[in-house]
Amino acid sequence: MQEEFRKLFNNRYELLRKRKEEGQKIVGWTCTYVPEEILYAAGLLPIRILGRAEETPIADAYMYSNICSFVRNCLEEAFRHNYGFLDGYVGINACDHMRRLYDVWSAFLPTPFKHIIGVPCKQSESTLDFFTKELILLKRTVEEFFGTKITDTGLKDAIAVYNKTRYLLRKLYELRKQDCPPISGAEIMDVVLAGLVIPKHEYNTMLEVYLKEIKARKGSQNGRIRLMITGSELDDPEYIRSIEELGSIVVMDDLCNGTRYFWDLVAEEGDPIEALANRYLTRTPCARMRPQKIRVDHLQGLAKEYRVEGLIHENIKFCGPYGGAFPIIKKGFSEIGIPVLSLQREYMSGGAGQLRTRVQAFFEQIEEER
Amino acid sequence: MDTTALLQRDSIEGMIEGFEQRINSARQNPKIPKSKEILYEIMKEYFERIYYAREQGKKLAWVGLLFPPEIVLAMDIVPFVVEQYIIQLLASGRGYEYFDLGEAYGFDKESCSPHLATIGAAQTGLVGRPDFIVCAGPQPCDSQSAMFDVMADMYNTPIFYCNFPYRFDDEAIEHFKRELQDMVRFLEEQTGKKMDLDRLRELLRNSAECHEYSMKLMDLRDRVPSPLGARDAFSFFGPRMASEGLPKTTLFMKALYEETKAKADRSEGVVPVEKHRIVTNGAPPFWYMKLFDWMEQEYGAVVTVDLANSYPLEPVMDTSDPFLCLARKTFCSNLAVKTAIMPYHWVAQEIGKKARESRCDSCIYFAHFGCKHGCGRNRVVIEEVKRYTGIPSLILDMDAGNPMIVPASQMKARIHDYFTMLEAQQM
Repeated sequence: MQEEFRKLFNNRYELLRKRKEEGQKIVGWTCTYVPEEILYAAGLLPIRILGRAEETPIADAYMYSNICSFVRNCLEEAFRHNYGFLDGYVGINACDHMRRLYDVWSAFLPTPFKHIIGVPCKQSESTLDFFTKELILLKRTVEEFFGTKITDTGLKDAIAVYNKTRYLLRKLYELRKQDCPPISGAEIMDVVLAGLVIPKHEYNTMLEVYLKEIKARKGSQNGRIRLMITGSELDDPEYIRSIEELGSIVVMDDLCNGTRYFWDLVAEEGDPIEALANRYLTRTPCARMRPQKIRVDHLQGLAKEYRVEGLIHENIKFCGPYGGAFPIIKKGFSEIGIPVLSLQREYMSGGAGQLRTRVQAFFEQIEEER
Repeated sequence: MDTTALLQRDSIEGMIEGFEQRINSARQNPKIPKSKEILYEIMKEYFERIYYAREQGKKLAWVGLLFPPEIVLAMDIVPFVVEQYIIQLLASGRGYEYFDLGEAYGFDKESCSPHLATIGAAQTGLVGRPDFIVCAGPQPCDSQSAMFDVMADMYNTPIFYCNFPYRFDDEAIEHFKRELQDMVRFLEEQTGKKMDLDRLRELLRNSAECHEYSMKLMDLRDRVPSPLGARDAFSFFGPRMASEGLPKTTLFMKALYEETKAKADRSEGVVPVEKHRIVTNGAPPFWYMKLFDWMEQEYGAVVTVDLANSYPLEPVMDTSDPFLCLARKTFCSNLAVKTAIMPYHWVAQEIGKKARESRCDSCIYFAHFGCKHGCGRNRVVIEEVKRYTGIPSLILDMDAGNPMIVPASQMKARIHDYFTMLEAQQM
């Protein structure tokens, strides 16, 4: 099953083109604040736009060198026509880089439908009210463009499907609380990534089978350092694997291809748009949400629950939200006695040697304190 | 690092003394225009308000750049735009130590250099300690939002983020109005004082008049020859940033407008022979604003379109609903704030149109290394400028706050090559 998840993700362009040929309309999104349920309820397949290219020469001509390598890589893939099958692209004002990705994509790429959602920077009555209006605007725009009607029933059905995904992934994550977790951080990432590029109802069926398999598996990771990883967009299981191979197991994460994606459910009662607005605005926050204190409290809670011994704070070079959050996170984790290692990286991870040295030294520090 | 020496060298007291000297100099030299004297007075009084705030029993608020100061002024709270203070230090060749201190604190070294330096300075106590912080987010940029978050954590101080929407329409304005009202509630809780709406209206009426002069001043830049140089055009930024709404700021803007109008009426340009009219975008090198003087002297090149006037500004409207007025004003009348709340490929079209209207024949994009949202849009902007005017652009690698990234000589070399190319093309 593990291999199936990996293949789905690695062969995503081919598989998505096939779905497109079969008549499925596909809309790409770049940030987990996009409420996929609205797109799903419209009969569209929402998929995460990610990168893959080793180098980004085309994107570099359109975006300056201080734009994060994740955004440049997504753009490179788009310019290379790897996202030519998209019927739409929904962006978020998540960060400076994402806003500019939307600008360049809108100006220079022929994706038929383009929309950007303004997600507020904080949780309050005022911002929740405005964000609800943003989602109503998205719904209306999607309906008008795709000539479809998104009903409340359709939305509730979509919410139910996505909630099931969230529930199943949380069940999987709970297994990582064990002394000897049956699944590694790298393996979990394979599983989560696959779900970003296939319809959720199909994914849920796979997850149910996988959960049964994993529950029966005996973990072999006893004695390893229990780590949590937080930071910028990360979709490279090899990065996590290279950390785990040095004597650790990642038992928890705070990543957008991890718990930030699925940790919180949408309320299934009441007005569905309001429920979506509430969930997406108040969910496990990204570092772009202010003030950072809310995030620190949440991460401290997860760290205690999963008996984390060390935190890896990774950020892609030039990432403003995560690069800026580090001093606050470090202070917050120092208050609960958990050491933090800051690792800067490029999107397509290079510098494996340097990572190794720093991580090994970090583990030695943790071992001494054990 | 000897922080005592830094505190002495870079103190607000020193800043006040510096402006005092400039005021005296201006009063003794009839060649220095009246607007300059008023400008120095405004800045001196601004720093004095900060310096004496505690002594006078007033609350001190750290506020963001591009943030409307009228609300805090109306509540007799002293606004302190800390990052502007650091920019001012950097512009005078001081404060580079704060970059290292900011990085040592753990703040991203690739963030905007003034923000990195502000974090560094905050640790030394140079900028004192705020009673609270009010700022905007997520725009104008990640770096500013993160900087204030870190400083609120550093000082364990209350902070209020005013949410900027990411569209511009009636719903967005209503939302921002509500945000401003929530901000007032926060300030009332922090100060124990109620907002004086009549005082706010009075400040807004002053702002409206100030802005009227500012708009007319910006229009004058389109004249041929242009009567206003880039540095003088930028000079309004300091007074409006934290003293907008005060009578003297209006006086300054009126004086600057009238002086510039007189020149325009005499067809007197910034340079004897105007050869080039430049449209710029991106944050300029604050530590080397003389670059604009050099371009004027060396190439007869005058900036006629920049962040101050590249996007259409609107007059300040009816002040009877002060919050609605201020919500609109923040986006439509304050510098380029509106451009921070919408996709930039729309903004870029306006810049292209403006460059054509102003008869620009050259375009310089200041690619400030720490500014991701600034640099990320450069291709979109230069394509629109080209579409409307046919002008090729120079993307100038630099840093707005840190001269160690790209020195002045290197910037000048590239600008020289650009104008040489342009003049060869024009022959």
